[in-house]
Amino acid sequence: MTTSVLECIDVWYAYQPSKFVLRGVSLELEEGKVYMIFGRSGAGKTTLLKVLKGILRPTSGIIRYRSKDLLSDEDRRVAYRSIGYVPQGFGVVSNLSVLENVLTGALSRVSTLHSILGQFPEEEVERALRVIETVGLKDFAHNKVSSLSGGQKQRVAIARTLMQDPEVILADEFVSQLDPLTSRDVLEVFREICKGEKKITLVITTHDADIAYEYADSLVVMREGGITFRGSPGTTKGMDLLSAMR
Amino acid sequence: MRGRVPRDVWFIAFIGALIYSLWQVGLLDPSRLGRFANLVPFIVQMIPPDVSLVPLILEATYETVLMAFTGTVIGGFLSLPLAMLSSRLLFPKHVTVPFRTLLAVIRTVPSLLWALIFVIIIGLGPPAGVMAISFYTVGYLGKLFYESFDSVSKEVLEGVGAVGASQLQLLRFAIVPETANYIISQLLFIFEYNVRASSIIGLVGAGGIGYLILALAQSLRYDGLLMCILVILAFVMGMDAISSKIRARFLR
Ligand SMILES: Nc1ncnc2c1ncn2[C@@H]1O[C@H](COP(=O)(O)OP(=O)(O)OP(=O)(O)O)[C@@H](O)[C@H]1O
Ligand SMILES: [Mg+2]
Repeated sequence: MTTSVLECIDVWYAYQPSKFVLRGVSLELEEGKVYMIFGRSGAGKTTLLKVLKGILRPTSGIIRYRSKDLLSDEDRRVAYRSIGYVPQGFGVVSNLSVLENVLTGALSRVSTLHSILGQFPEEEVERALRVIETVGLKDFAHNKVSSLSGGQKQRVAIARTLMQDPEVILADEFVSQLDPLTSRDVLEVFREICKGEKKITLVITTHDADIAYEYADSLVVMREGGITFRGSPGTTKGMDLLSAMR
Repeated sequence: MRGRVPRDVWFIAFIGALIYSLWQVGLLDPSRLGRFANLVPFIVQMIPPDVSLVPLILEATYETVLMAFTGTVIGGFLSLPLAMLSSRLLFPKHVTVPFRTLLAVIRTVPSLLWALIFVIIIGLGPPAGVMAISFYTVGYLGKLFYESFDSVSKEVLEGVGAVGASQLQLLRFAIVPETANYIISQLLFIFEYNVRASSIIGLVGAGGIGYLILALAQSLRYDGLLMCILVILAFVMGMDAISSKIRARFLR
């Protein structure tokens, strides 16, 4: 039996009045699954992730997180912490060390005063170090992020979201800037964690069909603000993807 | 191509405008040009520089640097909260606009005028100078700081914001680290600037080397004046060298 974690129903969104970028998107995300979203540039992938994360408020539609209404203020705060988001360029803080970056993932659990003074509870620091080890950055924990390579920065971004202890992770253009081997490494790490004892739902936008076939449980295609295709990699032909994008 | 003005026309127009301005400000007036001859006795009287004044000059320079330093620290300190309140990333428009306007008003008044104002309010001497420098610094750094706050990448803010960080936590863990180098480098830059500015504002009686220069010029001690200029020159060059080294470390 599968449970839906995050769900949007008939969501519309416009940056400018009546120029809709999302046109009635409905999508149900199930616990512990990996989703890969395809679509041409400008199809609305980033916008959809931001709406799901709660950064953008949809013009109309419903968003539910574990059957709570994400658009009501009360439930929003809880959900905000449980949904991880990795922006297109990772959004890591280059002047902080890897450890400091990962610790920011714990901010919602630490009092504002203590965190401002840079004081994190011992167990959070230990946890951060464990997460850093999981993503393979053990030797870099105290290095500044600005001195890391692109793939390493990405691991920092992963570690930060994991530190947040989310149930869903939305990752935008997650591996687009990496070479095929490194992106497989990164996804391998990610998949292992997400399929571990705590099931994490993973939503990734990508342009790389090979990778999607290898790692996704479900393929989603967007075109002009709507979802034009859904299918599993086993039964989907490459042609189906392409024609849904066009 | 149609509708394009040839380059030569621009050039001739530029030369014409230059000649017109020179004539208007009186630099083409032969009788005035003749007075440049006065430069010669002026320079002659400057040489040799009066070395006996060096202790006095150093003392006045020291006072100027202290004024600049205090003013920079006070101004830098005050400009941080003002810059935060002016940052669009942290506050809505009805907060940022009044604070931005306040900073703009402060900036419109030149430091020399601030000095005059404070000399009138609290009297002659270094305290007026320090106040003037602090004010000017707030106006200038406040703007540079809020601009740098606002230029922090949206993705970094979204990335750190996604964990559920509060506004203050965002400031501490995203905005300040991302702009710290720039802030330090701007503080050094404005300190250098303030050393020069505080030599000038001394001219209106706000103390320091400017005050000494004024006194020497009024009593026609041109050899002393040259000595002042030499000391300031040496000092500014030394400071430039040191601060560019420090800044190079902070700005990659
Ligand atoms: N801040 C914004 N203001 C106005 N329009 C925007 C804004 N951000 C995106 N858009 C528009 O919304 C549409 C969808 O953009 P979005 O970023 O969601 O596309 P995308 O599918 O992520 O594309 P890409 O693959 O290039 O990242 C585009 O037409 C874009 O021009
Ligand atoms: Mg995008």
